[in-house]
Amino acid sequence: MTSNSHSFTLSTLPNELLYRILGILDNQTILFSFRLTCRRFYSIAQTYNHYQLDFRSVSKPNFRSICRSIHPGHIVSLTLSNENQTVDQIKCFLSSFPFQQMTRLRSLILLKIDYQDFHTILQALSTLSSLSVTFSNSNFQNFETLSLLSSIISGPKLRSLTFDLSTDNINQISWSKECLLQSLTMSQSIGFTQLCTILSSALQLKKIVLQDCIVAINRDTDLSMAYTQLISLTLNDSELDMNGCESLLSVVPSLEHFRIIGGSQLCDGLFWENLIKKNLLKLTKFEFGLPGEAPLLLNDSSEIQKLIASFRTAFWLEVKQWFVTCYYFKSSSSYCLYSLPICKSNVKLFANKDKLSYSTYSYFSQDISMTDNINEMQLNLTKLMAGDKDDGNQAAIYPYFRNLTKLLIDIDDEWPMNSVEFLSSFINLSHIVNLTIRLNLSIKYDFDQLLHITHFFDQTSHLQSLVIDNSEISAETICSLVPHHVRHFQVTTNSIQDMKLLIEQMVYLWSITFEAFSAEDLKIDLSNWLAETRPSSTLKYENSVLSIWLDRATTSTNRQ
Amino acid sequence: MAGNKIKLQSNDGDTFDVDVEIAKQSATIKTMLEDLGMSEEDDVIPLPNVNSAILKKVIQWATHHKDDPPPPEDDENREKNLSDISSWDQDFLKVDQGTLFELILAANYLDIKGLLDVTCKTVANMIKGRTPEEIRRQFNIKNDFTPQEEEQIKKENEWCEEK
Repeated sequence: MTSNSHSFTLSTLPNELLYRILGILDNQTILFSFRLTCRRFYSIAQTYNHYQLDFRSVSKPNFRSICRSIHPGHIVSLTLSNENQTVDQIKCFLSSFPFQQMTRLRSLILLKIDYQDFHTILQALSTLSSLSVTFSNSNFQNFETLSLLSSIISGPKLRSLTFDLSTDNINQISWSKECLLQSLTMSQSIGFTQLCTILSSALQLKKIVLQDCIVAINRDTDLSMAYTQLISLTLNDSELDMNGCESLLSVVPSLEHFRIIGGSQLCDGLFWENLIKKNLLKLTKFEFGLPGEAPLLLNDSSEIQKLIASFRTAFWLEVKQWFVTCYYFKSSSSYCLYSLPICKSNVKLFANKDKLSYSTYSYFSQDISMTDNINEMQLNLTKLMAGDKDDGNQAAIYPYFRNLTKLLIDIDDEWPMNSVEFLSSFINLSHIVNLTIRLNLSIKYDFDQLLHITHFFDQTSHLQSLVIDNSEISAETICSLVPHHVRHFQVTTNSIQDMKLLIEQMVYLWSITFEAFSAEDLKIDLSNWLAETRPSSTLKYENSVLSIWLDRATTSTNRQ
Repeated sequence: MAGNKIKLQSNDGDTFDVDVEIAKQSATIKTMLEDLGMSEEDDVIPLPNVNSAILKKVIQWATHHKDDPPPPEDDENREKNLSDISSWDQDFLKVDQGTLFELILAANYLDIKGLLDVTCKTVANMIKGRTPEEIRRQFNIKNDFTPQEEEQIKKENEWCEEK
């Protein structure tokens, strides 16, 4: 320790450095801890003007407090969501927050917004460089809103745009040459002509992410154009065949990155090798997840080697150093071919005995970075663990999925013993944020036995959102099962009494969602009850699902 | 240029011979050498805002990180990941608070982005998730709100307990 270092403390740091520290802290800590420490820190938090607010998972009281504590002009990034966990949040925000004052806002994400609110917000935005929107309905007819959106797209600021407009709506947007967009993501498929229309106007567009591109070649299709500005193209759920791929890729010769998930009969290394050598000379990153049908039943991994022999040429292994792995599923004789690292974010895990695999990368099973892009998984725990027993009690070896945050577990029988040890061998359970448990159990099942799950829940320390998909489990059992660090809970029930009991007992929840056949009939009852007990909560009914963003209980309810 | 040394002088007069490439992780020193035409062999670069003990630590950090890729530019949308501090940096920063804040000031003055990032993250980790009272105790901060202000703050934030 130096003699005078006692004089240097957090309080003596200049404002610029305190702002820098705030830049890496979460808003909750800034507003409700740091700010309330002393007068100087209060004033620094008030003048800090780089707030990045993400309201996808927040309690309603805290949402209100955060909105009240921050000047609109100090927000640079904002995410608002009307999903089930935060029902009607965008309207709540608009009712107290003037968008016109958000003069520093650069990045805006709006999830499940309705068109009226979108129109209101669009009118007030001129500084955005990044906009991402999903709508509550997939198609809308308001030409005025589309015209506003067109003007923002063609504005001088916008660089990144993500939306899920329908194909018809995309046709109604006018793309002008002034458009300076660099990145465009659309969660609908578009036609080849639409894509060309966009690329003819958006001359700065470097990156496009699409659900798919429908290439229907006819006499009017112009394949002579070259849109050299595009360097990255992703097709997330493609149905393209070889001809479609050839046509599409012939107009974007400067691609450095191409990703394709899906497609038809594309598992041919020679086809890709020739196409890349001919059309995509700048391609440095090629990611794919390609499905295929095996011509015969395969029995061991040496036969899979033959399936992917065309990916073992010098072009793949030496020139490009692009490696693949292939999973063959015995029950369906189908297979999936992945580039490495695996680029898909969500996978279904099959028991080892039900599949065969082979990789051109020798260290595939030891290199845990190969599965780093996978953050969502579905598995049948009963089948998986039974499958391992059939394998002669050998512990199954699955790749380790260290970045998994979302997990769906199917259970066909009672909750298996040793589930924690089994799952922990390939999943970091403490990273799981979203968990769905589907209990496919008979009505006669003794649900009290499910209390074994608590040992499993103890490992999921970061679990925020839990779905229990079973209508037979009692409300009392649910209350004793669900860990208290869960904030968003969804369950299947048709009983209004159970719904009320769950809301009353699970006081730690921020939102609750009920899936019920009779949800529409129960809506008014539940709504009236909430008005008395949790008056500022917001409730939504949609597709047999009732969702509530819970506000605090009234004082009288608290005392009960 | 590999192996060339320069002399850095702390504000208490000590001089340190440092490889040029290591010293150039400091944008401040890099500018002095490149833009102001200071020669590497003869001149001593005075660093009036850094004492000898801290300069020694800074040189130790820069030496360990000499082969790191350049840190990315500041990005408003960067992920607020507080857990990606390497184990070497964690051990290096097991120092008393005074030294930690002096390192932040030195990293800022010398414009060493990597060191500034990791020291600020360390402080942010000491703040994150704590109550105002815990932060006061941790950093020896006096609560200078008046009783009326305290009352007002309490009223404004009474529903913000849940984390």
